[in-house]
Amino acid sequence: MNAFQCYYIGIICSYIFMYLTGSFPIEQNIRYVHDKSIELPVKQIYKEIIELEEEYSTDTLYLCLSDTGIPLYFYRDIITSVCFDNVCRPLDVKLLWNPTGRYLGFELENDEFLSKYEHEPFTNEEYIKLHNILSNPNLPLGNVSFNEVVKTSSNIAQGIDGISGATSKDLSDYVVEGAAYTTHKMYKIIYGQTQDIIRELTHQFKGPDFINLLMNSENFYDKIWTMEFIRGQLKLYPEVKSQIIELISSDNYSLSEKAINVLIAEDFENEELQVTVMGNFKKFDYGRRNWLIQLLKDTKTIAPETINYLNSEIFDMEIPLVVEILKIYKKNKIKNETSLQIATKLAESTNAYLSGLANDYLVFVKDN
Amino acid sequence: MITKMGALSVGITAPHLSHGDVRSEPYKIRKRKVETDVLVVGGGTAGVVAAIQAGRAGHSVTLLECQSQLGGTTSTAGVAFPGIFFAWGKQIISGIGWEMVQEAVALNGDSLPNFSIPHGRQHWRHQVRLNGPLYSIIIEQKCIEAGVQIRFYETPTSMVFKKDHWLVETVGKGIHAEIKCKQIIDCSGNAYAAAVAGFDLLREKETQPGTLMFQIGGYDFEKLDLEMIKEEYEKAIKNGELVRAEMRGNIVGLLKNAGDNIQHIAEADSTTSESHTMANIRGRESLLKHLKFLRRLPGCENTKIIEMRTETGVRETYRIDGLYKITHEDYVSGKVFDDSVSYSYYPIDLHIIEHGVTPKHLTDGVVATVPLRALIPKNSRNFIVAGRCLSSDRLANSALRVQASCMGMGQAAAVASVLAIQKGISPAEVPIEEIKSTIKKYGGIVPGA
Repeated sequence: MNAFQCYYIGIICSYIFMYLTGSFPIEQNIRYVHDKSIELPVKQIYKEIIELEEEYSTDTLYLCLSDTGIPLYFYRDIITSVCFDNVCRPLDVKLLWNPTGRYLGFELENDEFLSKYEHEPFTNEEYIKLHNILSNPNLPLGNVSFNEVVKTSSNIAQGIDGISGATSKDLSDYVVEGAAYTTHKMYKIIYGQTQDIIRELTHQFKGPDFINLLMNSENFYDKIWTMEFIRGQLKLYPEVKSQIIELISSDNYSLSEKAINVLIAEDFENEELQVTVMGNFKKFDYGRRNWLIQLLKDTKTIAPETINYLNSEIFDMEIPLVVEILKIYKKNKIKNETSLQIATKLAESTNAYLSGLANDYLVFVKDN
Repeated sequence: MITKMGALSVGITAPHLSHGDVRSEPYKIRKRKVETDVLVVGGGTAGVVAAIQAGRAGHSVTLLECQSQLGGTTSTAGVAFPGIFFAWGKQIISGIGWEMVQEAVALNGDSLPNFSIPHGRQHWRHQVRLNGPLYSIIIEQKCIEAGVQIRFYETPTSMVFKKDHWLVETVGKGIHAEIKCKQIIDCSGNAYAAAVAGFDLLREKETQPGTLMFQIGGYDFEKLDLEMIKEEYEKAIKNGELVRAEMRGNIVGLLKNAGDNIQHIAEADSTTSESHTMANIRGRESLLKHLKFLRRLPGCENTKIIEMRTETGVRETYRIDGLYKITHEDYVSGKVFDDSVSYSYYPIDLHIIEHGVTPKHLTDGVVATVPLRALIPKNSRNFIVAGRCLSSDRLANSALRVQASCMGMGQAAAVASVLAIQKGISPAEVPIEEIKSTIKKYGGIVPGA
């Protein structure tokens, strides 16, 4: 059996499994879900009883895993009530999260549907609008409490939708009209405590395969999150080393910054990594150069290629970085002839601060 | 009786010295004479950057700070979320200011915001949250490392220009200093040094309110009956217990944000010890009144102060009347001048006591700039300013005043001062291209470069 066949058998098995566990997306279900970081068949589902500060003090968070125990996604079955004119109907919605905490989507099973004011069901457009709203983690909705969403004068703690008051003007762009409370309720759950709990739980799955798959995600946010996740721990994930090095040179500032900040001084003791990263030094802005110089400053070993590179570029560098390089040379007792020649030249600078530090290095070399 | 009298008698005739005490002469004000190339007045956001830049350029620098720590608004006033360093996906403020922020973020184990995603109407998403105390220590160390002589608790009382140098008198705790310097950089935020030096200033009839930063707690916001609280708030305003403007008429905001940057203290002015004393007292009094009010309300009975900054932060006081005044139109159109030396990016953010604040965002791609002339008072020599007291109209100033912009100005002003010293001229006479290339040589970003 080849890998391709294994894959399809896996898919069939997972469908059987999902059907048995009730998570099979049957046709009539309403389902709006983004791509996951890791699209592998679900082979195991773990339940985690979580403590919440929401209207239910405890609930079950489900974690779907691959056959090798890689987290694929989390979900919660939210069972709550949405009331119109004091007539309530239960809302049963499944919310899904990526292991990175990113909102994936929602599912309504068993002919369940979302409805608005006067029980009118959501249209397809409204489902799409809701999904788009829920996909944006930066909306002001996240900063308001549900008692601010609608201008209510009473019953504010009873799960009431738009009927009892107009939607606050500032928030009207961020809710589905006639379903302000539903929108807000789902948004707060998605970006509330559950998200933090998911991220915490994901910390238990820091295996190299998992990290590798996350780093290969097409999703920008997942990449950023993963790099923050493995900050200072690159040595545990050698498979992603080359990708991190590549991302350091990314044209996207945040990808580049997060990739640089994965590194710690210890990583720079790997000469190959140090030399490769420093080889791109010239293309960075001052801030990123400064981060790299600080790494060098704390690294025990400076590769000869790095010293040659710094020597060749030093006169084109910003003065504060030149100063830091002189300190690095002194700390590492660099006695390379070119470095000393450079320091001698810098010692003649009219900038007393710079010349003082260059002299300091030269005297140190002479005395040691 | 005899024993008592004896004791009394001894008390009158013998010195009150305990074991180990040494009698000391009355403390006399000490006089100091200081000679320095650059005198920076004010160790806040702009002043620290200016002082480090001048020090790194190899000049002797003295930094006067009337408080006990560096950082000003960021540390003492507690607005520890400077911004904005990136605009439209591109970095616009770098150099020393960014370096300080980078280091504070790294040392606190924090992450930078994702600058690649536009902030939309929530510009604060691109502000960098800092640990204020840590930041204050880092910048102090950076000053020391650059050779800056820091003089805390000191403020100028007179400034006289004599041919090619300034004679400045200062007072501090037990100190009266005479400082001779070649250049002055006024980073007081209030154009205080410019006033002492005798240059004309600008001030609005009504200035923006100040804010005492604090944090409250002891209640569960999600469980509060906000409508009831709002009704009670209105009643308290009506009966004169509370002043609407002091929490921007937003009692819900006060509770939701647990304090933070919400208070508005009218006419808060940090220019003099008297005006700043008044601003501090009024800021604290307002907090106390609101605390007492809240503790009467159901759900808020246990409200308490968790943290409070030591002084009321101030947004606007005096500005210099400079060689050029940056207008609102200049700012919102992103005008680049021949002598633009740094960028500034922030919404027009005028806090008005009756109306709160509604930031007006710049249109896509627009980034404002600061011309060197806006940092130089008319009829001045060897004098430059950096920070919120630059020459600008009120609306432009409401955006220019923010921290990242002040950092950019601080570095540019120090470059101009130092080049002026080297050439024996005034900052306005330094060739602008030399200023620009020097800013870049020290890691700064220059508009149009």
